[in-house]
Amino acid sequence: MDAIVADNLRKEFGGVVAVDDVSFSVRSGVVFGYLGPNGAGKTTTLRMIYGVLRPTSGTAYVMGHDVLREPAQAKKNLGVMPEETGLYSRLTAEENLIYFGRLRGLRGRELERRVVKLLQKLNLMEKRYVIADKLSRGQKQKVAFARAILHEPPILILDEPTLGVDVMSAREIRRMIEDYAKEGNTVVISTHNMFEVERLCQEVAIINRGRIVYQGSKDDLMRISGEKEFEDVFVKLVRQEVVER
Amino acid sequence: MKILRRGSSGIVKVTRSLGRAGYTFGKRPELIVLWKEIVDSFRDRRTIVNVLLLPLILMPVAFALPFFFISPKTNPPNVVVVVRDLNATKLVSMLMRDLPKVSFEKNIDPNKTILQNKADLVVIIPRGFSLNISRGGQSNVFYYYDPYNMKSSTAITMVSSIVERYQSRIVSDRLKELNLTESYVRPIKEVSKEVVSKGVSLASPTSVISVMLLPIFIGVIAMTGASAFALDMIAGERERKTMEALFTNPVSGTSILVGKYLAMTAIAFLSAIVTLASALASLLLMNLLFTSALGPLHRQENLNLTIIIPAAKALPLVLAGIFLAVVLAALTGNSIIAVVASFAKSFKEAQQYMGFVTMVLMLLIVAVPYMPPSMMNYLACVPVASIMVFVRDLLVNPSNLMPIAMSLVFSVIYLVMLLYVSGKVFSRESLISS
Repeated sequence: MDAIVADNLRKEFGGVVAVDDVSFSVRSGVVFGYLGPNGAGKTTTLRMIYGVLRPTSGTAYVMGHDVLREPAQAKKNLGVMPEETGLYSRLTAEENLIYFGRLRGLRGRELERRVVKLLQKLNLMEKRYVIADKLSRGQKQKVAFARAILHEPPILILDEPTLGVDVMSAREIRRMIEDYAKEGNTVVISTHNMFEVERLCQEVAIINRGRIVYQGSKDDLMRISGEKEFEDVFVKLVRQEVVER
Repeated sequence: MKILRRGSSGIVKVTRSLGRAGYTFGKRPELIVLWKEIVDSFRDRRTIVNVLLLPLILMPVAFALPFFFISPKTNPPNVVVVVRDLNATKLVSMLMRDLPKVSFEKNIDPNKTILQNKADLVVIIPRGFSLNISRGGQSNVFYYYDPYNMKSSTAITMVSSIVERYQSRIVSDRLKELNLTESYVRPIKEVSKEVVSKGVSLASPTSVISVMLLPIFIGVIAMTGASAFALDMIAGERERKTMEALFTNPVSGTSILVGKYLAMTAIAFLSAIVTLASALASLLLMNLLFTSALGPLHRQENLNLTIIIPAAKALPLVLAGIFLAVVLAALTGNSIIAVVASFAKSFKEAQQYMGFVTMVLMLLIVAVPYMPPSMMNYLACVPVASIMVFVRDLLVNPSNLMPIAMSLVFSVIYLVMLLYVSGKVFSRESLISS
């Protein structure tokens, strides 16, 4: 079964089409890159999939659950790291994790065990009792990542997970993504970082002006385009120089 | 452990156990949201200042200061008596004995003395004062006072009562000479009877004030006491982009909003209780120290609840009613704030909207104590004012259940409507996407 299926997703804001009948599917167990230039409709598509925006038409399925009809079931299978970390500035790193862990049905010693394990893995134990407001951008991003995988979801959606993050923190987050995918989980990443795509993704979909211009294997795309660098392929696609799969 | 705690600020250390309580507190998502909002609010120093410190400091000051300044006991008015008739010894000695702060002059300019604030009242006993009276005639006593000075009015009341007693003696002597009784010159005697409901004690200065002020306090504090946090919980969360992450959880918008309402109500309730306790303590203290300030209403009383809640015999009902009113007012006020906050794009914009909304709320709240009792049935049907009418009726007429029930039913109907509207507005996706 596909982990995610986007079925003719369309979103209009006051008559302006942000996402135009987008369809794609994400196989279970792959790292899937969802790419596109700024304003292409990446974040809007992802928001419809993780259930915070209602599509104007079409729908999406998460592990077979319709996000419109069974939003709670769909959300239970997802871990999400939105573009903005969305941490509560007056809550400590630990409390931010407790809050979301509790809303995901975890509690007591099991929750504490997972919180401590993730903080250790992300080298954040020293910041356990520090309020989010006093964390660096990289540390905030790492806490937001820990929050997304705290309940060990089979699908992880990451919107620009390393944007504005220092090299060391970005490495740690990438390593964590790789480890998470190795455990058989599905990861969807929206990113501008082509190095990240080359390193992490097996499959990609590229969206431009609200429409999908390519979906398939990253290696196939490289082969078809004849380019050596993925960045060149991406630029060509966005300029609509590569048209057919 | 020392290393682990490095970087924590003072308020985080104090509230850390509250934070760790999140591991086990409550099972329902509403209670988990409540826990988070309480921790978040108490990390904000504004909470401590607004909810605890301000009421504890402001209430005693707000109540005691005016009484301190008008009470003849603590701050007696300065009376200057100009005696131009050296034979007016009886009146002079009465004034000397009964006025706490009095001086006697032979000749001063009364206008200048008042305008230069050298005295609150200048009394002039003119030449020939005693002679006129001894001949059976009428004499004048002149009062020079400042109409904008409250102490001037107090001084006139005090001097008048002394002059009235002196006059009564003269009249009594004259009547004796003519072999007549007082009823001959005063054929009518006025007798006033206070009419209060069954179980309600007669008015004391403090109970009059509390009947006027308690509904206002409940309205203002319970409705707007948590407004800063209520705005922050919705508009602030939207501005800081935390709402999106929150809505990725498999929890309904209704559960999140209910959790936030519980937190807002808890904070508003705490604020109202601290304010009421502080106000009641101030009233008790004021009653103890300054009661004679209120002249005719003054009655020596024991220090008990009837001086604040006149319907003390129905105390359990009144207290339960006040508790209910605080919850109703808090929920009503916060649902209005939630609607405002959901529309605003930022915390600042929400605050600007709230300025106008607060003015309207204040008008509805303050209308109740100032409207005549005949208007109460109409006000009971008006949103927000219905809660104030409910409190007022509980305090002054707890045995008449029909009007109390009417204002309560209307208050609940408006609350349900507001909760419904706020739920609809809160679930708009523009809360996340813009």
